Amino acid sequence: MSARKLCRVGEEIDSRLASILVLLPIVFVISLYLYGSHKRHQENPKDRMMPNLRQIQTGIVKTVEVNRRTGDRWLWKDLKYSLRLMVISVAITVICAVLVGLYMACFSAIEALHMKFVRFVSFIPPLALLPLIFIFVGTDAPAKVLLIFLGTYFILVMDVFLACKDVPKKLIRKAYTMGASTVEVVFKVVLMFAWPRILNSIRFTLRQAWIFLIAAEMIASEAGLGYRIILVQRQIGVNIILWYLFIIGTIGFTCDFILLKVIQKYYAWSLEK
Amino acid sequence: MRHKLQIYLSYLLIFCLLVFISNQVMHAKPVKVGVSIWTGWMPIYLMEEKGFLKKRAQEYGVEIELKKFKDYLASVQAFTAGELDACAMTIMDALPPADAGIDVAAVLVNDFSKGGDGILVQYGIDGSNFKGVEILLEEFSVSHYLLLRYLETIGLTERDIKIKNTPGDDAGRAFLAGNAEAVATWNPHLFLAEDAGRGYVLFNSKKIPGEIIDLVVFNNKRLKQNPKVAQAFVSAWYDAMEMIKNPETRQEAIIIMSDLAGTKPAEFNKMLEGTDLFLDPQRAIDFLNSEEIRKTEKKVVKFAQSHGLINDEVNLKYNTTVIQTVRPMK
Repeated sequence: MSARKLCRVGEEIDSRLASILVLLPIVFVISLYLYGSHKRHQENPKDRMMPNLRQIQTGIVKTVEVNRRTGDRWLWKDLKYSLRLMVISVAITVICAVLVGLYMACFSAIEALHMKFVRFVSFIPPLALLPLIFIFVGTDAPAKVLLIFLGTYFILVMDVFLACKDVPKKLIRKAYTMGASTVEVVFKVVLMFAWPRILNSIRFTLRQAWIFLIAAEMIASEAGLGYRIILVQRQIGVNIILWYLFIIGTIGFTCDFILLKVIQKYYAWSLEK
Repeated sequence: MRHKLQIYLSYLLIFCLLVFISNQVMHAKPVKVGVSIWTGWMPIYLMEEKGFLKKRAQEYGVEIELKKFKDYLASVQAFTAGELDACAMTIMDALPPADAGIDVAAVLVNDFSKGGDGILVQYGIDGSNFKGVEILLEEFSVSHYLLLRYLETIGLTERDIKIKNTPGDDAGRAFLAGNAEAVATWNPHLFLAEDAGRGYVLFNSKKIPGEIIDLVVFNNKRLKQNPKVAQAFVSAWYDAMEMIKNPETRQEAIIIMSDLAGTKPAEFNKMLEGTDLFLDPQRAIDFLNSEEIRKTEKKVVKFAQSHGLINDEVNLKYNTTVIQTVRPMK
């Protein structure tokens, strides 16, 4: 492949080169880390701030074997706990945001009722509301769901609203002329047309949700990926933190990848420009 | 013309940058001491505020920079990473850095908790029905340690209760909001909850005097290179102690410290009651040399080992030579 071709805007590159380029930053980051870790261990063989591969391996083993003090396998317990919390919170957020965003886009009364309020509240950092959340919902699971909800809902609802607003007026008029009821127009025309874009917004919501999941698990927790990361900080368990970050990255990447594939496969029409 | 000016300007900029960088490299970096907000460490803030630290640093010909952390744990991590030369921490949190290969030397004992840490419970809960209680606390912290010491006295173990990990301040707030049946935390949350009639303190650090100890630890490797830093720091600490001891200046000291801690003077006075400050150097020397502190260390090491805070046998060094050099301010 000529250099000139590489410099042209919008030019495709061949897949071999692409896969090399994909690996490049990964290899770069890992080698930079290993070098730094090596340097630190030369100075202090017991260093735990930048664990080497053996220390990371010890950390991984520690999370999958039965723990002597607590009597359970950390990783399974944490995964179960976090994923359940994640699924519940994201499901609630998505259902609420899609419905409200859709109605806002369709009915001006609901827009007037909700819009200014949402835009105002969306600027408030949810973590600052923690004391209020304690008072109103306590410290158990509902509080965690609420925190994730507050951290993701307002952005998603605005996205859904904009996506639904973008539905061509022509389409709606046509549907009405052909005798569609309002319910049909809202759900079969507007929602269906905006759906691929909403799925795309959900991809970004998931990112946000992970951040708040970790924050939520700081409070009154007994398990969870975020819980463990915070807990082992006291043990200077950076090896376990790195391993858990890798797991979070993998789960997040997989979800994102699946959603992207779904959009590409079933909603290819929305990608055509 | 304009073009030339631009070139000259950019040369000038690069020159300034080079001067700046070389300055940074040539100048000895100031020694960094980490501290976070806690009753027993407010005198450290005081000694900066009143200029004791600066005066003592000049006297010993050193440069000390106080790094104020909002997050206590972050300060311990920065110390472990080697970013700090010294840091204020509890005896328990000094163990993991030592286990991670940092040569840790305690040169100053600030105080020990005497009622400042405690277990808050709602009315109706006591030792007889403590089994099965759900308690909010910061796991692996002194609150956790305190709870285990309490459980020992009533013949229970950690498995008999349910611990939910929560940062100590948040646990205190949750209790005040009426959303927890039991929490292990520290002041001002203990007396705030009692004053509000939310519950009572079931067990506190008064029952285990001298076990929750606040220290200033140094990275021993760097301490050996430049012991004057520790001397200047410790001298400034005792200047602050003099100010607190002296009835004429005590009120001013309290007002400054409570202000910096974000509380009211009356509240801060109450917090000081739960904190046994080591006002005299001799008491600190005796304590650091005593059998008592070794016994405490053994207990704390046992806790740290069983909870994965440390992997190996670790020993802290207690360096009393620095405190012995303290002389009153000129």
